[in-house]
Amino acid sequence: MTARIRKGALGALGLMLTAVLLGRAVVPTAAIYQFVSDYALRWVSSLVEFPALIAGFVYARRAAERFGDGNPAARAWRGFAAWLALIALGQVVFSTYGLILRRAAPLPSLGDAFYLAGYVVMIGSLIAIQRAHAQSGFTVGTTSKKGVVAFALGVSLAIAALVTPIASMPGSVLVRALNAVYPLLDGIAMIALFVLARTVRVLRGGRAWRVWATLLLSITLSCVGDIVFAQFYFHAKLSRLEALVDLAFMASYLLAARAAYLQCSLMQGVTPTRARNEGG
Amino acid sequence: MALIVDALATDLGRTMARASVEGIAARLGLKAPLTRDEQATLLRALSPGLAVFVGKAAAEQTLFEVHVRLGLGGVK
Repeated sequence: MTARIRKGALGALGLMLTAVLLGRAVVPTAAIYQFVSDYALRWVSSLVEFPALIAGFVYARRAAERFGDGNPAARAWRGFAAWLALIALGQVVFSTYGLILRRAAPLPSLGDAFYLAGYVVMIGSLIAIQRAHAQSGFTVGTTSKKGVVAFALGVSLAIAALVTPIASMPGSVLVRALNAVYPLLDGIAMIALFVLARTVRVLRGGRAWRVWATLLLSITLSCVGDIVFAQFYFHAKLSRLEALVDLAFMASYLLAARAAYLQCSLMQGVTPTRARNEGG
Repeated sequence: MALIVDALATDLGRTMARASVEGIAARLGLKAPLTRDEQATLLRALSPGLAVFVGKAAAEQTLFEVHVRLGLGGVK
């Protein structure tokens, strides 16, 4: 099978999967969903997400190794690798409950611990890469302080609107605190992404742009998935949006893997696969 | 400086490449047209920053090629 055919087949498969998951959210009564259950869709999502997370982890780690210890970007890539590994571990826990034991995961579960740790590490990595870019001495773009403050204020208000109903929810303090922490971390991540976006803007046209634009989109989709999840958690009638959440996370992890792969390619001058074949 | 900007633009895009080369040259007190020594100094100064985006090996390779194209010899 040539690379072109393989690429086309994967693209077609991706489009089909996207259509099925989008359709589940938009037209849940469509005939196809009498045959394709939510359980089956969850299996498919997991089977895409898990390898994507592992591939992302492998490439991000490889990128960190290639940067070397003295390079400030290495720490950020080690962090991105840890983020993807922790999310993969969280996936294993949640998939075990949902797909193997066929019951909802308890709240909190070990999966939450992995997810939250992953989020914190990811935010730390975003801060680390911005510091590395700033230390480079290169012109990484400017964002007015007013712009950042205005964006942070907007995000804070939106997050407050999401978190406030949690306070009045039934459940233990731990459960409510856990449900509040996810949107709070999303908010912090989005502010870090806003700052990273300035670098992405000035990198336009260069090969490094593809790396950072892809990672920016990946993490944005992860935050969006999380926020939509928080909404249907509180409003049971929105449960059909679960397919959208799966779609957002699936795209996020695939893009993260792609970004890490692109970073490796950029450092090699050729694709990592080709480099390996050449003994590189 | 145009040749250096062109070389860096492949990886960093033209906007960042131009702003960074001009910014670092200004920090070093260099003004166009640059002498051969100044060109070599500028290339050395660009290396650590470029390495943050593409890694040390790729940065050195890119700047080595510029060295050669500028006729500065193969000295990195």
